[in-house]
Amino acid sequence: MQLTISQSGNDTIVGVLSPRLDASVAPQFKAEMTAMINAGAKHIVLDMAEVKMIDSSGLGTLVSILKLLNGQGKIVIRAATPSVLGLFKLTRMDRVFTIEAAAATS
Amino acid sequence: MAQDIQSRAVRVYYANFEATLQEVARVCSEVHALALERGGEAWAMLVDLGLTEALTNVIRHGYGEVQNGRVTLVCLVTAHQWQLKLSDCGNPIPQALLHQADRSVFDFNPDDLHSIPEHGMGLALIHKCFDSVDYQVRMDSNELLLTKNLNFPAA
Repeated sequence: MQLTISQSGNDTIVGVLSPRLDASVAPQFKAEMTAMINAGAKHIVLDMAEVKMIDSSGLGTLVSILKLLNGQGKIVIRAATPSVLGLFKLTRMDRVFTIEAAAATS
Repeated sequence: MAQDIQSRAVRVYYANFEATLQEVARVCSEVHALALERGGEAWAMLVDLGLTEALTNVIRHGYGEVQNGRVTLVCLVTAHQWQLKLSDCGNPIPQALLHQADRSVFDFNPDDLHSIPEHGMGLALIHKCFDSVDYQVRMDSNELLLTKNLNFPAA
């Protein structure tokens, strides 16, 4: 899976370029995010604009990353598509992650 | 009644594929596109999600370490329902496990980090995504029938 990584102040901004965050890519995603956290990232913004679908493996990976931060950081979900937002609401994970609204288009 | 529904069903998708997670992603993307034509994005997302969870279970738990397993997926559409029929030759899922999926898995305390689930959501999601889930273990294969009602006017 493809990720783009950039820094904005304290925020590490990770662009998830895969259309699916599912069991086929979750292990690689987890490994890359774990390495990032071990390297010191604490405030992580996941740009999900390209992600059309997340399954329970992808969701579990997000939870596992949050646990790895152990309350010492945060994960923000940015630009989530309606499908991704639907999953967060269906599983009540919208109460766990900070979800930013998609930017308005002009 | 079930026979009547079947007799009027139209097969809109068929795939016989290698039991790998990469193939699951490909097949579910194709079914998602078909579902999107019929319903809205929210509806297509539920079909995709529930199917992905079901197929992932087959790969991980049905076939496990077995190589060269195969799965057949047929999608039947009637005026009122979508039916996804999955067949595989892996180890069957225990009926009790399938029907006693922990529906409370999402009743966690969001303020208690350790109570938030990382695993065990798949079966509960299958039941959330579909209106009925039927499973039959036959002599030479397992068959999972996932049914989702169309709750909007036919296109």
